[in-house]
Amino acid sequence: MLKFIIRRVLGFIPVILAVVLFTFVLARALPGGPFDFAGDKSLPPTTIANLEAKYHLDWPQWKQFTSYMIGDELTFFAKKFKVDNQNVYVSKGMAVINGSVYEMDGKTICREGEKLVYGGFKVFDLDPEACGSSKGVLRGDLGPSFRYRGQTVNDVIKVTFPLSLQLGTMAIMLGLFIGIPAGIIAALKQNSIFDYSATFVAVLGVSVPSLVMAPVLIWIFAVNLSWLPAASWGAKPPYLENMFLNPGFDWVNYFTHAIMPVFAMGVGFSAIFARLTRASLLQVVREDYIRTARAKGLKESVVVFRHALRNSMIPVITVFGPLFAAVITGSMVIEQIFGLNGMGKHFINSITNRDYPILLGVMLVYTLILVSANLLVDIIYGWLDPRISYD
Amino acid sequence: MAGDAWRRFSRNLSAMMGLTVVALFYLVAIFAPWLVTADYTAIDLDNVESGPALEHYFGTDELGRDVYSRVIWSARSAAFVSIFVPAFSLSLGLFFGVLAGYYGGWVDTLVMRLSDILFAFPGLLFVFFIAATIKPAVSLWVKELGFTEFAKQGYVDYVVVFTALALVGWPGLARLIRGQFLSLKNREFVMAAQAIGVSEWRIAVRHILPNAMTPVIVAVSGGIGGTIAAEASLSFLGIGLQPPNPSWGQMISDYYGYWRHATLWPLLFIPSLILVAVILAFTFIGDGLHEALNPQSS
Repeated sequence: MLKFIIRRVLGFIPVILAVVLFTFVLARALPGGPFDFAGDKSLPPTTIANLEAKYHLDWPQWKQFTSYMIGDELTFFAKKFKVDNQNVYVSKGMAVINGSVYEMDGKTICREGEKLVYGGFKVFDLDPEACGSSKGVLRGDLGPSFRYRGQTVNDVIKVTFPLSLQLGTMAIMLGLFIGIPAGIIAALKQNSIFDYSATFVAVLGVSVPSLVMAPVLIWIFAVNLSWLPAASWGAKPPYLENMFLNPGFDWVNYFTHAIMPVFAMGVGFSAIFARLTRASLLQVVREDYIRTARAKGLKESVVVFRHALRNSMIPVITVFGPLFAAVITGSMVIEQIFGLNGMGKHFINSITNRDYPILLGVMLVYTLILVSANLLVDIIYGWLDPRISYD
Repeated sequence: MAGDAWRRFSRNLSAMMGLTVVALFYLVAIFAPWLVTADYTAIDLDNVESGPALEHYFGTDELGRDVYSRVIWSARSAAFVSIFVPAFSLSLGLFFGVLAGYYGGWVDTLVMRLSDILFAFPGLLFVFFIAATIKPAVSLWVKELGFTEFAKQGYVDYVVVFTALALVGWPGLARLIRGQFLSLKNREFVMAAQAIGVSEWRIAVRHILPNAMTPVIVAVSGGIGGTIAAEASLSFLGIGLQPPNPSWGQMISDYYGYWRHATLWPLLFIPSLILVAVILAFTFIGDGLHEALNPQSS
């Protein structure tokens, strides 16, 4: 098992690299640059040129990519020095100090008025914010955002990802808690009124997209009944600290805010789970080992829950991987409608803003989640059905 | 075989209801120019935000556009999506699936790795991204090919949305077709064909493919509703069909501020309801086909 997991994790590397490379190249194929507009006004060309130089957009693509992946100093095979207790990396024609890149003019390292001297001279007037640079994705640094001034992609993801995670997890939980029991009931009472109504509701659930479900919910529960708030989230980041370390946290407020977005997203999942559970359970109860279990005189509840259900979960678990993708896409629409500051919203904005680092960062995080979810699914297979083995 | 399937399908009430709604939907799409009462793009600032009335069945929006006509034209957009996206992804899926499944070897490895990578991209996120990226390239090609009128009308959006959705759709179909080929290519009827010297391509296309199509038909028909929903979501978020092209998703996005409005809420609810009805109808047809073509499963 361990060997299998290690092999799969190693297999992630080329896939993730391909995704990052693909996204990187395509993002730069988008017309227009990140600095064409500040708000509604267009910037003067010299300002654009300066900003582009600051974020290395004037470099050749391959250099930008290596710098994005492994950081600037490694891209240039720079040597490391200690100057005034600071790490200074110096290579041909450039230097990296405090994570900022400086071009070297002869012996002087200078850029945009900041004077910086290396080798026998002193280093002074350092402005770490002056140059956008990162340590590279491989060292966990997703770089600076182009449009959210002074924020790095790591900052943005740190704030927005937990919200998307809460939303997605709760939606999937809701899907499981409604969908699987509904599917079991429908299968056990096949062709009864329970079956027909569960099946019908499930079809309705898969067919109502969240962009319709969410406004309908808001219209009923927020506008007409005024039971639930129409927008925003009931907790503020950092979530763990605010929710679990703060004794006065308003859980009622939290859940009243969460109900509608979670429901709008999760009801579709519950429909998928119900349909799959029903179909799969109906197939499994015809298997020989179920007949054997019944012939042995086992109680019907034991036959269903111990023998049939576990095996019928295989197709349900299979959709888990793609479902994580659905969580993500669902969250884009849901976050938009409920005004939530989640990752999906920033993904849309980053496309329209041409904020490449945010776009790449969000894509990378979601890809990581997706491949890990698929790995988890494979591990659960082995646990559910001992006939499946990977070694 | 087809007769049996049709008999089972026609006995399925919900599937037949779905078929009726879909037939109506395509009729509306085809006859849209004769059904509309006004130019849906025409702005009439003297008559904005009026509720449903005789001269404007579904009312007018904040620009005075006739909502009824906009809904009708949007049916045409959705109809295009429901035909072209499955057609695009099926052709890609067939091409790569047959190639991988029948020839195997390095072709198979290459196709499967490519689909692995496309699978690693998270679903619609990828569609959004592709839609945004290929749009300028597509509009440039269209203009270079001399279809300036086509580009001016905003039809480029359709090409972009179809391509983006199809690019995400084909790997699943390719895998399905490949799996079918792998299980069929060692069967007796294929060996018999090989023995009498039928050419490889003919075996793949004329002998194996027809036998491999049943699950493919089920998968494609089951996916159409989702495709229409995906286009609506894209347009809702402003990345799919953009004005002047009509789309229900775009209407929901434009009008969703009306949910708290006393008289204008139908503007939001009518496109939503129609969108759901069409998706639902396609889901019913997909389920009906699934049951009709796999009778042992139900």
